[in-house]
Amino acid sequence: MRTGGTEARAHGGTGRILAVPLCRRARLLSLVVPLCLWAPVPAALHAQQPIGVGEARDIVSRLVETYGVSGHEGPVREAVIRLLPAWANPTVDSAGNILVRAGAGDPLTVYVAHLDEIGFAVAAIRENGQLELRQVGGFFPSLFEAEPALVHTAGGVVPAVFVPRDSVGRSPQRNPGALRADPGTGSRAGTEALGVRVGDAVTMPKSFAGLAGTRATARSFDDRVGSTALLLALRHLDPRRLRHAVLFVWSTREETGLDGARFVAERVGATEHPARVYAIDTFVSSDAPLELKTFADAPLGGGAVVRAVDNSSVTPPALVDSLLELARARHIPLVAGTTNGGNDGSTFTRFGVPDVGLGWPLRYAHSPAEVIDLRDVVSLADVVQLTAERW
Amino acid sequence: MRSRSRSALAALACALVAAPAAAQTPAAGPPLDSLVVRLANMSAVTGLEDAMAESLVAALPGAVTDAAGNVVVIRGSGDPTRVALCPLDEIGYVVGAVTPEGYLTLRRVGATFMGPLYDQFLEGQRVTVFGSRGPLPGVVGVRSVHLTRGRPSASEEPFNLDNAYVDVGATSAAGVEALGVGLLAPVTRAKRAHRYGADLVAALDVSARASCAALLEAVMRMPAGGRGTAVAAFTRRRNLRWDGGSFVVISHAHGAAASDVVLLGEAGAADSLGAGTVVAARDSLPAARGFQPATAWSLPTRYARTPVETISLRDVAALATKLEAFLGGQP
Repeated sequence: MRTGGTEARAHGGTGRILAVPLCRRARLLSLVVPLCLWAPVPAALHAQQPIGVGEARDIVSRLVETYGVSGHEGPVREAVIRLLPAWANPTVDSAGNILVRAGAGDPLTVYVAHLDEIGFAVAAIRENGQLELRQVGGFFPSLFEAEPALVHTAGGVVPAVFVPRDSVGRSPQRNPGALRADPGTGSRAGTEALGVRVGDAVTMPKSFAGLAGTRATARSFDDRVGSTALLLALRHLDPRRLRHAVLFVWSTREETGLDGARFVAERVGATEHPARVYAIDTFVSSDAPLELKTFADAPLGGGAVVRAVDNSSVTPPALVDSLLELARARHIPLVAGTTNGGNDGSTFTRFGVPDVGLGWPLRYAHSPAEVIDLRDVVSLADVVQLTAERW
Repeated sequence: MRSRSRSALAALACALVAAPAAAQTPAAGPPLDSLVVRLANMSAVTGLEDAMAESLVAALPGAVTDAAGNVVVIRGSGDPTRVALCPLDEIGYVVGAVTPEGYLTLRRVGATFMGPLYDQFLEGQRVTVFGSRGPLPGVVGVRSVHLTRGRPSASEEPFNLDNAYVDVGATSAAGVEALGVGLLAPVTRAKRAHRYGADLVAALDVSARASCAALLEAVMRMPAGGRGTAVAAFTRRRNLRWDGGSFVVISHAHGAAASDVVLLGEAGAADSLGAGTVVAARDSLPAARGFQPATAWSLPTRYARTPVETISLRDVAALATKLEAFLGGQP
């Protein structure tokens, strides 16, 4: 999830109090008619098998162990395409987004999760072979100081280290300032001989690890969990049973300005008039030991979260209510809340498309030690599938 | 290398608990290189070195544990006695408390203060908690950058240990207990040695661990029938006044010439990386009634005392050769 954006007021709480049945609220709000699209919930869904924690773990672990700094999403894009169901017919647009269409008829609904992750890019190569780095996305650079590094060149990965600061001075600061990476060559020529070029992406190594119960840690769950949820939903829904057209998008360069999604919005939003766009992205949670609890307190393991208010969009309350009601009827854990950050769906709103943010609670966002509960990934995928089929 | 030595090293490689390899880390090369990586991936918090010591004893023919817990190999007999000491231990942490929400707090072991950034290197990183049922992964919590936006600036002071909450995925103190984790369980950074450049290895404490790998290699190579007695000791509790090493000196080399007592494990000057062993006189090893003079043989070390402390494998190989000659009584 992008860290920037304008500030929003904190509304507090998880939003459960907003879970008023849509049609009751409709008496209060005049914009309700298009929102009563969802039909009475049938006894069983069309899914062949319920989505399970094991399947979620398998997919998300593969995706988080693939690298894709903003603008360098190729490996993640390839991994997602490999994991699509056989019936899917993906296309890749000129912005690098993956698009999968299913179903037919109006209204079109759009789902967007992003492929990219935070990291660095090589800004310059010094005479001593070290790399000056430019930060890509919003995060604390101190979390990368004195850690192993990987330079992603056209010819492959070159290992290096993020250089510790030379000295701390009399008044030590948390922030190390601009970071450098050292590939250990000792010279510019040696570094260039390894294939390193200005513009190459630089990351820390990363891996998936299970914690107690259904918890897990890795870097770049933001937004590989969203990408996983779209994959899981597609693998479990029956495209022949869809009541209207859906478009699933895995977008590029979200962390640097929602660029990939904007590209899609300008083409689809203006011409196909989607009924809704669902931004499937992190709900940065304050369910963590160092956070203030004044808002964003969605507990890990409590299920998916409607990102009703963030820094880039406000979901129409009637839509929030409707979605909560639908999930409740299907016994899918879903709460509503407010957190910080921007989301890809906000690029559609200027085309008159309501933005429904859907996320899962994440601890320690944009750090090497992000933590999730896999049950929330399942819940999120269930909500995506449910909305595609029934809302 | 002799076949017996090779098989022993292979056994050591199996006995040592290695951290999972990094997805993109190059594969380990020849045996000494592999040994460096494996030792660097082990954890041995000061005073809590049992697991590493037991692995060494199991793998080193003739190795014994002395009364101070050091792993000692003695070859030959008579005078002179030559002693090489390599410390096993590292500055680490133990669980200081368990919160009702299931987080662990930490107490540093082996040093009261390590400089303003040492603990900051824990923030937002993976750690290993050594519970009674085996090692467990955990992470040290960090604020989400998103939730700092629009709020007064967070402190610019470095992260400190009092803000380190280890998250192992438990949701209660009872959940932590059920994982076999309680007060005093050792905790270290998750170890994952990282190879880069032509022959460089980066890891926390890699300089000491690579020195121990060189000593291990030298012991394996050492021919029988050398002059006098050779003592190779992998010592405990360096960070508590070298008391393990002092016990070895008192037991085997009290009053020996400085040139017959070699101290390994210090970080040598960074600017000599790749240039071979750094040799310096030392008189600071506490002994029975004063200090035992000794000679420090150090690996040139870049980025010392950070998670990317770096040594050159070429220097490790040179140190192993030098130690083999020393223990064998060659000039």
